[in-house]
Amino acid sequence: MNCVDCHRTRREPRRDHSEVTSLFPLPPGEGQGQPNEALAKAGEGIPTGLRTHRAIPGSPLFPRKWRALMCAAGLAFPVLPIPATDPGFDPTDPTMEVDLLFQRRVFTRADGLPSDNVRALHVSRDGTLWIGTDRGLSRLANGGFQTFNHASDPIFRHDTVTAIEEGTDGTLWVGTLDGLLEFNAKATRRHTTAEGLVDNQIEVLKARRNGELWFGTYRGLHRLANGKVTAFPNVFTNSSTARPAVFSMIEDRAGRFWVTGPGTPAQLLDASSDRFSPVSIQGNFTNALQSAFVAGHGILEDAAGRIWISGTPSFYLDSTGWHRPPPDDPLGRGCGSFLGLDADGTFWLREWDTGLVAYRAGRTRIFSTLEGVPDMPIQTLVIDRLGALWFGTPSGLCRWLPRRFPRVIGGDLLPKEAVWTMTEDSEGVAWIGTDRGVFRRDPSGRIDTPIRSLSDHRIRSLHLDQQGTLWIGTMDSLEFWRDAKLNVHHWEAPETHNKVRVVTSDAAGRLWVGRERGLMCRAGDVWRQFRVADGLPHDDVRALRFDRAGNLWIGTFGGGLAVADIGLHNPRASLAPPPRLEILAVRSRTNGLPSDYVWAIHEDARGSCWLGTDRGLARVHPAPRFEVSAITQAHGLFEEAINEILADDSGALWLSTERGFGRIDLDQAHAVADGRAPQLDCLAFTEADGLLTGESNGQKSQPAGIKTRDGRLWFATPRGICHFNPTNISARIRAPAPLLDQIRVDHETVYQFRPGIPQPGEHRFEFEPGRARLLEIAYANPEFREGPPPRFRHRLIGFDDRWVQAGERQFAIFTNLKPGAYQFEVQSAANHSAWSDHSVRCHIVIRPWFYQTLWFRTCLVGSLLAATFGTIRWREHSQHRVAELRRQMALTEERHRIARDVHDEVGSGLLRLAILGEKAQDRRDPNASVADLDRVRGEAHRLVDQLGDLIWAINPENDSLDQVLARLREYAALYVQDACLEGDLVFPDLRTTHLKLSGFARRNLALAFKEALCNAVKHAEASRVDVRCDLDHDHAWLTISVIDNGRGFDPARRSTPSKGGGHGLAGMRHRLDSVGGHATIESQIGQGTHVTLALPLPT
Amino acid sequence: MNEPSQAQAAGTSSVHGHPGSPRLRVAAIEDDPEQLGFLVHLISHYPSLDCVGSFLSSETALPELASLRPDVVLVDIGLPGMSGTELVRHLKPLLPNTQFMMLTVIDDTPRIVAALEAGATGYLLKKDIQRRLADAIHELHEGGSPMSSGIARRVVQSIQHSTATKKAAAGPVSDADLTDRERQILDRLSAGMLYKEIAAELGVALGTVNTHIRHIYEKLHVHSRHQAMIRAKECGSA
Repeated sequence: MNCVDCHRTRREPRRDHSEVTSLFPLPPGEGQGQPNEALAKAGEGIPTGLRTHRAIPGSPLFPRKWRALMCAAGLAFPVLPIPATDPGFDPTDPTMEVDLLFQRRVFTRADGLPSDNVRALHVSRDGTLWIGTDRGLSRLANGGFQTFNHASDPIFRHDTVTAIEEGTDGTLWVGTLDGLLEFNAKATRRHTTAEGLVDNQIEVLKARRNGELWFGTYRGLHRLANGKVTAFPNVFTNSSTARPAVFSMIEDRAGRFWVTGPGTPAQLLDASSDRFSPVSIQGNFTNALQSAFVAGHGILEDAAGRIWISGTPSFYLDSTGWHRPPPDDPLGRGCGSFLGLDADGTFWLREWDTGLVAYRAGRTRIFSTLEGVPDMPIQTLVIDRLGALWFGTPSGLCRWLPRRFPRVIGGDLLPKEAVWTMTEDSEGVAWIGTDRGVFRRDPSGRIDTPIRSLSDHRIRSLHLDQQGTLWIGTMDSLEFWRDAKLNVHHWEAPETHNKVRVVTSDAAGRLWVGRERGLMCRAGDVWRQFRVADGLPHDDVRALRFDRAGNLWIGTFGGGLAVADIGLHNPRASLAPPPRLEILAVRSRTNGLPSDYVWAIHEDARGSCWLGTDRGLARVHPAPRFEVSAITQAHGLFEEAINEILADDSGALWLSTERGFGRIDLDQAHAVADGRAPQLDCLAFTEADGLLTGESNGQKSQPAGIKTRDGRLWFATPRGICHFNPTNISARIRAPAPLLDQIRVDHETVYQFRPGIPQPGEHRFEFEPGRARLLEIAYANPEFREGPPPRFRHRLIGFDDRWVQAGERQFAIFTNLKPGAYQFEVQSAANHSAWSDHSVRCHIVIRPWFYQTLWFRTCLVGSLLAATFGTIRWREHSQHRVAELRRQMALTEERHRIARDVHDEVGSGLLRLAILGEKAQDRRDPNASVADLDRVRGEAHRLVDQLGDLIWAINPENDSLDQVLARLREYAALYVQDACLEGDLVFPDLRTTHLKLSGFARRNLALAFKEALCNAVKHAEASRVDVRCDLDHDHAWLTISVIDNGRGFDPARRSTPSKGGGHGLAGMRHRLDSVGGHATIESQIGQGTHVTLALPLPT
Repeated sequence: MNEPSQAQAAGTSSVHGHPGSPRLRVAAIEDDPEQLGFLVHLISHYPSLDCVGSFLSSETALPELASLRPDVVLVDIGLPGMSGTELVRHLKPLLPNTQFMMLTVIDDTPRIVAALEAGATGYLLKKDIQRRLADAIHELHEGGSPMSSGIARRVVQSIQHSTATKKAAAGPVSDADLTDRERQILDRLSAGMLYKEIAAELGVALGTVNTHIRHIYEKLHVHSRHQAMIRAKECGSA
């Protein structure tokens, strides 16, 4: 095949086309138009598909006439309903190369297997693939192999594993050449002849649903139930010498237990009597045939419940009895012994020396070393959850993944090289453009080539216009097919670059053709060309699309996008091409487009247009904004070279790229384009998922994909058409949940994956506080996939509920966890698939420190509260005490002051008394002594009075101001009255106030007042003495005035102490000063005296 | 210089008694022999007074005075052993017509009021004894009672308190409660007014004021006895 056009722009280097083998040249007329009726009859509901026209090299068994015979046989063959899980995958199809059928891989010791000789395989319920080899038991984990043998487990007396089975309780049973090993959570045991086994060499194992384990040793059949071994020797009566004793065992849906071995077809266990009885094959089969039946080797039950026994010949049992396939059916002759049955209904058998045999609907196909089977015989075969076949040979383990989806259409007529474009009409007839012309496929699957004599067979665009004309754009011409006639339009010279990229027509019926050199429009018979000079951003027009407003969106190769108004609103538009292109907008790298190469345009339901470029997906809003947003790999797209964009029935966008097909959700895409979300989920299907090729076409041929009426999506690829049902495809590639491999706490392993040990689902790992400084959890992905390794994400609920993206890392580490309860779970995603189910949740509990427990905290809070209250009370108490102390200090101070006063006044008075007494005793002057005695008497009386005053002053009960004033008034009244003088005494009524005066203050006030009064009454020679007492407004100052109308005096003259020791005016001032007040004396000679005593009142 | 005496005179002259009236029988209790001798000497000096007994302590006086039946008893307020107040308390019920006059060095209001509550009706400062003894005795016998502003306050407090207590006990208002006039006089005395001023202000005679004050003293005595009884009852019942 020629690489017809290498002007692609892509990231990765393209595969060299020369590797593809050249097509067998087709003589015209042969091999066309022959539907595969046999297959159509044989499989109900299976669309026949398109066949490749290839002879299978190296298969001498299946020349054409055999195929014809088999087809004929198929007509007579009773119809076997084949489950249509994915209709169309048929490994027995001789026209499909094995590479088209399977993605194949071999594992050997170089990949980590302990030995190349793989003798047993088992897929356990948690998804682990167990492999029994000559050197031990292995499991597939994280793309590698973990081996258990005598080096890791001394229970392996012999490393050769011959059989693996899983019990209903999760126990893993491993049959070795020296004993039966039992691995489970409780114990690891080895069952040997010591327990009653006839032989230690285990050949086959079967676990029944009731918990019994049946195993066949070299010499006999056994059952292990409830810990007891029961031997069933000589089940096969003719087998006293034949070895091994048992070939295979199954338990069917009905609960019957079948065993095959040498000699008889099979034995059936009678549940009630616990004895075996041979199966007798009835029916109209000749005895000779029956006796020729040597032995049933494989036995299996198909989806319909039929029991099949392989042999020479094979038999099957259905509700009507035993049957035998016809002799021309390979099974009827015997084509090996059963290995397994896959979900599509294909039987897999082994021919001992020939290889792996697939049987389906009366056809077989042998895969041997030429097809990549490394060695014979096939010793074991299992099918994993993805549907991949795993089989073990003496020289390696093989994994064959059927390329079930997306399926590349191949067929007799359709070449398996490049398909460029396709279109579908309203009745479901599809037109397919290839490098070899146009093919038509009707809805039933028939393919023909009605269009002959194309001037150029390299089809690049197909378009059906409103009149039903099929427009064909080729690399050199534009042709159209109408009424079964082909017409050609050649571009006039000197046009050289005539390659048609895309053909479409507008609502007015005008034809638009995008070419390498410009955009052409035809209306009626008039052609008009638009080039860069007419406003196009670039001449090479790759994509054309009309939006709902009728504008034409033009994708170019090097100029980006242009949107033009083509005048559809003009009612006369259909008559002629528009005179010019009204360019509404141009978008390129300079204004937001990720690339200038736009070759796919798709309008979604909301009216936004999505552009496929070589650097990602771009969204452009419609008129008038034409805003551009780009979605690239940074947003989660798995590939940026996007060749075609289709929408499925649910509205999701499917992108064909250079590396596979991707599916994105439209809402997520809008969110990412708007900037509302940072990432979107992109489901990708690549070669790792079984795609034959990830490449697709569309960069220079549009349309390169269609959604057919039945909802399937077709994409044009360099290796045919890839088509699939978009709704059921995504679920199939979901990764299985990862398994927890190991849990280590502070470098001590607390959980380790081992055979038979279940996942720590319900188990709670409890640790003392401070013990879990380092928590390491390792997990493993149990399946194998080609392509990049799976990604993981995990979270520790209780620590951080958000998912942590772990990438490809297979362990999680947490340090210094606080006490609490945590749950760890991990998910995996393979190759842009959805995240798997979560793994088993692992419960980890770190007990709290004692000071973190509830009761401790409660006590703490309680004691804190108590302490708080206690502190408050203590503070109050101490404040109270402080106040007490202060009070007492004040009192003490007062006492001191009064004591001083007493000493000063009374003491000195008494002294005077003594002196006077002494003077009186002096008899020198007799008159004087009488006067002195008189003075003594007077002084003594005075002292008594003073003492009375003192005691009154000290008594705190007398501290109210009105009491003080009353006492002063009383004194003044008596004094004035006794002196027979006139006078007014004006005192305020203070009984309602609660003013107080301290002892010291009232003593001093009283003394000063008495002195002033004494002066006024005794010394002023006055006839009238008035006393006034006032309180100011704020009750802050007390004022007492003594006013007399006596002779007055000159205040400037220093006053002399008056008789009687009153100390006079200076004394008054001093007394008032000492209590914070003041005494003022106003006097004039002859004008009387006005004495004012003022002192502040305590607030 | 004479300090004014704080015991207000009732206004009688220094001529004591009415000519022809019988001599007042006066007894005296004073623990200081000097002072007691002085007292006796003074009493004997006045023709209107007759000293019928002089005792150095309450204990010696108690058995005698009941039979002596003096008109006025001079009691030193500060007696050792049984105090003067106690003596008055004992003797007042036995000698209802006898006036007890307390003699005190200083105007120790609390002690004087206590004595008044116990049944005394007058008091005299010892320094005024020489000058005014006879006058004071006569005034007391004739119904005058000295009262200082401090005593007036005390009396007011005391009677008000017991009135409140009685009111709280929902008892009837007895004659022992103060009348309005008495209250008025007490208020003015508390403010420091003289008898003369009070009489002038209230528009009554000076003797009326005296009479009122005497009544007040008797009520005071009743009150205090009443209080004692209540207390005794409470203690007895508790």
